[in-house]
Amino acid sequence: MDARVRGAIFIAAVVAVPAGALAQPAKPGEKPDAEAETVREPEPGDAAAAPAVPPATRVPDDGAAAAPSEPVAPPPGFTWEPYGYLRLQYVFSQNDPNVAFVGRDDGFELQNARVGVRGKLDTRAAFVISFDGAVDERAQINVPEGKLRVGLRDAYVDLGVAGDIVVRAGFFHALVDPQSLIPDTSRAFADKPIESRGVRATEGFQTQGLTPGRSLGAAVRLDPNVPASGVRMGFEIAVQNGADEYASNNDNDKPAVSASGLVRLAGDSHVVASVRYNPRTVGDLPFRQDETDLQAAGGAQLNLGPVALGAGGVFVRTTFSTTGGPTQNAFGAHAQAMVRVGDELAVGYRFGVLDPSSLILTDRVMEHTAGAVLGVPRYRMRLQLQGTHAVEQRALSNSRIQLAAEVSL
Amino acid sequence: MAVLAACGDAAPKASAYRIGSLDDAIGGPHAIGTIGDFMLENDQIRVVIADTGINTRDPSKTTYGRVNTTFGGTLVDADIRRPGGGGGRGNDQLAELLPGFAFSVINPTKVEITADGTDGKPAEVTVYGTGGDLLQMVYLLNVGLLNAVNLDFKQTYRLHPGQKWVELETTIRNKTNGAHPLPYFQPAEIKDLGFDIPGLESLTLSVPMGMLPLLGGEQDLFAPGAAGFNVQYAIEDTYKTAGGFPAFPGMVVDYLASRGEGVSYGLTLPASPNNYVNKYKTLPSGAPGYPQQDITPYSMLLPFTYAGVAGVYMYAPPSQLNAGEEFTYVSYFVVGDGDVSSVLDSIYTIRGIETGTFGGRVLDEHSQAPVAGADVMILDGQGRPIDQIETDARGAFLGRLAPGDYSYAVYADNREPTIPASITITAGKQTGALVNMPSPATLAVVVRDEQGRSAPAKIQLIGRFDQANQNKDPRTFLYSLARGESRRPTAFDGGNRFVEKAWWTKDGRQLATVRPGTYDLVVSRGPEYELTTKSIKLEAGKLVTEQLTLEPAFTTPGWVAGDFHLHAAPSTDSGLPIIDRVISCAAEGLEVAIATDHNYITDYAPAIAASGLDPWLLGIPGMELTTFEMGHFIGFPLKIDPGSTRGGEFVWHQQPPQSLIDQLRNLAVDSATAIVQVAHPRQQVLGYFAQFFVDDQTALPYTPSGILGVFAPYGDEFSADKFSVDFDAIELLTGRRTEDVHTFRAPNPLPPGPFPDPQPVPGQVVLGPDGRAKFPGVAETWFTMLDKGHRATALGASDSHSLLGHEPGYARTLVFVGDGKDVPGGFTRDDVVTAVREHRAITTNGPFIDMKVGTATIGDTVQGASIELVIRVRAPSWAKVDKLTVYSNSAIVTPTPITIPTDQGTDFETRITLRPTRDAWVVAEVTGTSNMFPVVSPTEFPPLDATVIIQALSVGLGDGLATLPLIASLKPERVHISTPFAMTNPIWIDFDSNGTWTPPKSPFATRRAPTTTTTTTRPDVRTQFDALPEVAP
Repeated sequence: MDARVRGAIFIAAVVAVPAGALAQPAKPGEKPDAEAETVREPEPGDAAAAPAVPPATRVPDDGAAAAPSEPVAPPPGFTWEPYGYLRLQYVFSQNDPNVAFVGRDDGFELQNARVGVRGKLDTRAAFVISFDGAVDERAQINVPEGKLRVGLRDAYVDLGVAGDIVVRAGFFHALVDPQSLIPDTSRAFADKPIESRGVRATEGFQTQGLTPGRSLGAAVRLDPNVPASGVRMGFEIAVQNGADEYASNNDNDKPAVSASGLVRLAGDSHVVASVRYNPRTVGDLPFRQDETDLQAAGGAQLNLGPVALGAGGVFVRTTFSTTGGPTQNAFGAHAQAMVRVGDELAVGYRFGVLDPSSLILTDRVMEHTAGAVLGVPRYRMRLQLQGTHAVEQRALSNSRIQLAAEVSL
Repeated sequence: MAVLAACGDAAPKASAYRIGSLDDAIGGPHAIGTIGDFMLENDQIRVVIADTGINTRDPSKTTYGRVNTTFGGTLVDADIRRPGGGGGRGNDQLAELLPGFAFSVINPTKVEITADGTDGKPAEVTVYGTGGDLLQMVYLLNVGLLNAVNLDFKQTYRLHPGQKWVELETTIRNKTNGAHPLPYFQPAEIKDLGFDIPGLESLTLSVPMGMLPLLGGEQDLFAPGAAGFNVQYAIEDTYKTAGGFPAFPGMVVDYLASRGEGVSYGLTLPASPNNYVNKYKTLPSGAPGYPQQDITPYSMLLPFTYAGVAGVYMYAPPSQLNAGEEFTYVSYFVVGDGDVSSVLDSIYTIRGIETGTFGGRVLDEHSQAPVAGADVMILDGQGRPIDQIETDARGAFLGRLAPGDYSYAVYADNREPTIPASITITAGKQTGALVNMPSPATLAVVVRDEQGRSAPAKIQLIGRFDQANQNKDPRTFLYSLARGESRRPTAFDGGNRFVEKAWWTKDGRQLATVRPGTYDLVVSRGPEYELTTKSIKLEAGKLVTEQLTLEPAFTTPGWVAGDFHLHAAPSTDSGLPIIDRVISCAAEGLEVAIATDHNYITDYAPAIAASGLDPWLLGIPGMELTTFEMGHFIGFPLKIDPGSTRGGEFVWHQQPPQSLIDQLRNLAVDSATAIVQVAHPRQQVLGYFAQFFVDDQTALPYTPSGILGVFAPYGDEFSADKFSVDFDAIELLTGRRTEDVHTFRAPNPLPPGPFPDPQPVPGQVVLGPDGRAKFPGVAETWFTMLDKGHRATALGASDSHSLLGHEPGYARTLVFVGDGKDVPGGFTRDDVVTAVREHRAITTNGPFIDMKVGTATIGDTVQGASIELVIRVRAPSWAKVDKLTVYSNSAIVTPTPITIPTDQGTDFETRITLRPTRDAWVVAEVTGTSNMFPVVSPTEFPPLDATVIIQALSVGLGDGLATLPLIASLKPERVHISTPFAMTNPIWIDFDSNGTWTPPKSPFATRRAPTTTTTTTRPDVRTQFDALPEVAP
């Protein structure tokens, strides 16, 4: 790692920055949902962030309704609101001297430009449709040039069936990715942990994350509101196509099935654990190959006063029933801690590890990331600075610094 | 949903129907199926059987030769059923498949659907016909072995639902009232017919029957065992151990398959008591018929392969067919998805062999990225390839194998192969592997020309192999053809240089992955540029970037370089995409590229425009009208008929030369100015002069005697009086075949004998028994024509069908288009044609000869009894010349040959005074002995040509065919380095200044041989389109 990057990481981790805050945790009665940026309620009294419509899901019914933060019950009928955010970052990355496609693209990146609408029909139904305006599309793996394109993000409806239990159908992110519980606009670091994100093109040897992306399907789910105290239990049983993310249809006759258990704790903390079984079919005709993923994932987010602890892990076992190749195990995990310094600033550290294949002895990647996040509520903005020191078995020089700005609607 | 589930999947069906729209056809690089042909398809594959081509209402419109071989009724297109493959957007790469009976084929009289498959049973198309000669050259042998005139033939193509193969059921029936022996004549009787070969009467003959697959230029032929992908050379190796007749010589294979881009093909047959190889595996003498070869119940015999054509002998018929008796044999044509394994999988199913599977993934050991398109070669206990499985885009592979112990190694063009690893296959079980392949290095190169432009250029990596391997056959240590590796040409000069990789770039930019190593990075751009070289070291997983500048060697003001004989994918025997062809031409410094695909009019203009090469390259549509035995004729510029599947309609079968020439002119943009060019005139079987036995001293055909006459085509169209000189140009030098330029002279000293009569004299022309030159040269024949006043323009052309090893532009023709016009966009197609017609042309593979008399130059006529020739020779340093020879009226002009001093090998000027005694022509020739590697590859191995068929026959006949020129012991050396050569066209000398140039010899008769058949007249769709009434929008 060159001195420039080392210095930047140090600065990112240590140097004091103006007071600010982490993204605010959800308060009791709020919906810190998987797609929290799409359904999470603004804080009451925040005129700038005042919602156009009430929350898309039910408010707690365990007595928290009397709490001052509980919203007033919405009038019946169909309501909707637009939402979205924009994230821009500048990336400095080391140029690996031996690998042509690593690091030679320092500059601006539009991490995302999301717009969407969410709406509800009384408490019986809700929907979300959103689009990403900055999907990074690469013609092939490990190419330095990408193209921005617009892509569908979420498109689903929730139908209330019993109590807080809903049936969700459409194109959605299942709970099997613990990161799906962390809204993009609340994420402490500028990018997702490595087990969920993978290694992006030009960051290193491009590698997919281990968690499944969005997919078409249906789920029965209960995602309770944040309790004022104690715990609330939730679950999700999802049946999805299980094809690649953004696939328009299933890849075979067999769906992917996942089951998740969720515990929500006071203070917008949570613990989630999931398993997923996904028989996939890949490859081009006529050589289509059946492969089966058996996946286990878990994650936790604990907000303890000024300290926010987070951790997650994913394990995937893949068998190759068509080719008969040896079984592959993959795992990835992260642990992180953020400390709030004042109201608007937090600093923290994250360790991540990704081993995409047990069959390959040279592909493990570890990341040490130090970062700071500064909230600028006046502009509904967050600024993030982070440095990542990558430690690869391939001995790449690919540490990086990211400076990101995020503006929410 | 439950109802849907209960319904289950519908059973697949097969169907046969007549193609009524081109949207029903298959399409692809070699697709020729069209409306009126027959489609056989099921849920797995699609194949097309051509109609007879006979027009019963108007026989003049019979289209013999529409398919690649002579007749119709053959399987011409085949593809897997693929997504998006409808509407004629398939990927047919098959040239043709047809049954063969010794050297006879079916001349179909009727093709019909005998089962359409609507009943859920197999669909069938059946061809009925009589016997026809595939090659007239072996007519006597055909009669002696088969005498097809007594037989009826039937070929049924049968496709079952759900299967990836076509069942081929072939039947011959004795239609006479008497017995029909097979062979029909005994050897002594065949000899009496005129097949007078010494020793023939002592032979026992057999009648092999099977199939003739023409798998197409894109397909790499594969045979399990010693051959692997090295089929041609492996067959030739078996000639050395052939047991002799009645066992036809050739290679025994368990099955035949191929490898191609997205589609592959295969042939096999069921176990049968009539299996040809098994019948003759033991000779009557008790000796083995096929010593040292593995024989299985499914064995087939490959006697030859040539230009994508293979003979596959499968069955031996009974020794006699009684009146009305039939003999039927079955074989299977398999369609795979691009690799051998997909073919072999079906063959296991056909044979009912239990298998296990071998699969897995191939990943880069450094990046772990999938290695797509790698070949997983399955090897037997002796390390011989028995299967090839290609990895897909995800690096995955899967194949079926019979139970047993194997090893496997993975090959990719840009990586070191893996070390073979062992596997054991168990029936019904899976065996898997994850293979880490060594990483390649990455090389990025930018080449700029002397003006700083990103110009077309050729970029090569030149490696050096271990000195210990010097003088060894590179196939034994540098690459394995058997395991599917690409050829890496060596310098072939006793050194250790070889071409690791070559790229022809449109703009001098190349980013590629290659095998790590230490190389010379060499860039070039044809003869007008020097080589720019830099030593580089490439390491696995690492990137090296280089920028090099081209350095001009000399300029040729007013002259442009053209290659007038080029092939690409539309040719049956070429798999090169047109876009690669035009880029390669520009990168070799060519400015004119004439498309001359076999029996297909191609226009390079769209590809030139698409690649942005308009400023650099002019494309001219043309065609090589290709006959089986009459030779090949090139015509340009031709117009393209978009309504034809061949770009134009023509007939080549049983046409005399004048008809072929007339048809080319009729296809031309302007028949009055079109150029008709004789391609490789002296090449055996494929050359016009060779097939007509044109004497180099008279430039007239003669009737051969002796063994030459035995193998001479018999048709009336080959009679000497049909010979026509109504052509405009002759290929003086074709490709690297410098040995064909001049009449062959015996080396001095002579190699060890013995030699047939007459005894060759060192340094003198080698003569045949008839006293004529045994290997007459193109130049001497052309000189004689000039002497007789036939002003054919001599040209150089590459006849390139591929790239590395057969580079375009070597040879080439420099044509004078006018002062100041030799700039991008400065000249036109008409300028090129005019230059050829006016003989302003130089044949060259490197040097440039500027020959002048005063201000007159090549192609001009000068007057005077004493003239001073000023000759200046320029050459790049990689093609230095050392000898100048001037010819006039077929004689060498003294004081030439002149030895050019070494230090003037790139720039030499001399003046020679000529004092002719009559009207004369004068041409200059320069040659060199330097090796033009790596710009021009050497001819390291005997080039493929049709003589291998005759060669195969000669095995087992002892010395009976030894007097045939093509297998003579003393003949021009076919393998050699490429050396510089150039020859001008004439300056004409009007000795007596009377304004008329009088030939020094009696001119050719002005007669034009009558045309017996005219071009098939079919409506020109452009005319029809133009005639349509205009419709207001």
